Amino acid sequence: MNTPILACENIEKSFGGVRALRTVSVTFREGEILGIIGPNGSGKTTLFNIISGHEAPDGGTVSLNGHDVTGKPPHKMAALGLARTFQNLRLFEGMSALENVLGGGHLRAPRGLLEQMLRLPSTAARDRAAREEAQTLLNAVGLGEHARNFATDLSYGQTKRLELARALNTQPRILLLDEPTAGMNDRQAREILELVKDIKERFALTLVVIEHNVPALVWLAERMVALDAGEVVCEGTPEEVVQDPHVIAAYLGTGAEA
Amino acid sequence: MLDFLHSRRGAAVFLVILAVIPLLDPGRYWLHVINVTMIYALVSLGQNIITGWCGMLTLGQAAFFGLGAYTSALLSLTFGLPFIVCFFAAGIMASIVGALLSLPCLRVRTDFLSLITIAFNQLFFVVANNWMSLTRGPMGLPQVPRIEFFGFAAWSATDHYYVFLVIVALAYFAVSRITGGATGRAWEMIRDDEVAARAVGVDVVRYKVLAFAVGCFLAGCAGSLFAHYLRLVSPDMFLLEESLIAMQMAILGGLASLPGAALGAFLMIAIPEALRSSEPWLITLRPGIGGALLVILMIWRPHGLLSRRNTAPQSLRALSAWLRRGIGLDRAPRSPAERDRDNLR
Repeated sequence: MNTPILACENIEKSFGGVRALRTVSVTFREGEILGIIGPNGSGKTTLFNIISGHEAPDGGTVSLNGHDVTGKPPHKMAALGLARTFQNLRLFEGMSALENVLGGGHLRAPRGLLEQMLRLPSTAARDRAAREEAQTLLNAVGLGEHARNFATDLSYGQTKRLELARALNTQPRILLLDEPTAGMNDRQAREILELVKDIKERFALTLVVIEHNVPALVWLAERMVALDAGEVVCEGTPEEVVQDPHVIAAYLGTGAEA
Repeated sequence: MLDFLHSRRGAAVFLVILAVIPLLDPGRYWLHVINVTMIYALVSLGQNIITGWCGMLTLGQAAFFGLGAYTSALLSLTFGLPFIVCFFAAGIMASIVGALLSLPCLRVRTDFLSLITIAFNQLFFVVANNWMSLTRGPMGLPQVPRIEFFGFAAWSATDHYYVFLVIVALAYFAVSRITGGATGRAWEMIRDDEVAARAVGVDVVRYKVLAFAVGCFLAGCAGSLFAHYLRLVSPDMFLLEESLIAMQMAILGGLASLPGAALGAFLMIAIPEALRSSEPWLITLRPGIGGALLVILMIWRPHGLLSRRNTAPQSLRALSAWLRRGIGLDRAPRSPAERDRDNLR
């Protein structure tokens, strides 16, 4: 439970003159649910992008199971068991819900050109199994009846669930969720977080969640990290973090300013 | 209807109809029109892989078509190699050059890709038109040998018809397997959202190069058929105009749709060719008419006539949205704040 599976050490990242992250170090423990909070612009998503390989850090290292994976491209990180969702949905709009999820299984699918052209019974059987798996995942996130619908025909809450199913189909060991409840009302948010918690247990994941909805995250997370202006200001149990004066100051401003 | 066209049964019915046509004795002229259309159906298919499945707006397929034609013609004229060898050499040559060209192109945004491929097309024309010792320049290469393999030689229009039908059917079948498999899905993921495609493990550069390689392979093979069918290759057969037409075939017919690729070739080749004698202006104005049809289509179906879903690349979707707003069909998109408010309601 407590072995570190993923570690970021002294990560730095600037965009032009803006220092998005300055020497951020966070350790992720196997099997935990880690919540990341912080005001807008505090560098949460940038941290995710660096872990998932979508952006390269200016300094510092990311290590996965003790191996240095800094700057590896996203498709290699996916192969190493890291999956993520996006703050602004990124679904494949020209594809059905089922195909979106199947896309998540890209790395396990038969990919050789000749293999696909010949489509021997063994290949066809693998394809069928992949479809069944994808359908099972759609059922698990409550979209079982929408397999043939297009991403553009789903409601906002459903698209969030679809993105989750797609990420799960990469069979990750670590799942990064960037604001899973953004734009949802309390009831929807509660539903999706319960789903997330359930999935985390079922698939034995290490879960990292960025969330603006602090009470919801306190309910979900086992440990929390608070970022402000590109620095870790507090780390601990959810109760400790939300009562930390730095965190309160970051969210509400300090007394002197008020 | 669209579902039937895309089904295996639909393809079988279509194939049977095509196989029966020569038995009805339509005459040499009509068979010739269909023969040329079938050759272009391969070009259209290649363009559709690159543009429809992988979402890249390439405008240089005529150069790869021509590269295949010249490769095949020169190999058979100079070295007397058998047709089968020349045919595959043409495809492989176009495929390799296409893959090499795509490598630097992938570093630029998709609209610049169009510009670079246009430049390549022009470059190809200039080289073919001026490298006298190799290509004989504007005089072209006459007397390209007939299509011959395993003791069979194609003489009549009907002979060619069945040769082309078998080759084109096999190509469409092979492509249907690829586009129906993980490779096609990876291409579509790249078209719809590169960032998300990377996140699920797709090596984006590799699959884009692969799309170019396969698309140009088909164009090169088509070029070989063209050279040995018309028995003449000359630079003016591979002008930029032909690339525009190939792009129009892919979009008009239907992006990421096999029947769409075939329909595109039919619209842009068969109809103008069939009316060549009575309505010669159709051939001359073809790229213009195709372009005008495209603009109209962009308003309602940016993904083309026979596509079952919205398979238009991002740039065409944006163009479509812009046109629709421009003529007042849609209102401006809601701001994120408005969207949040609606979602919370």
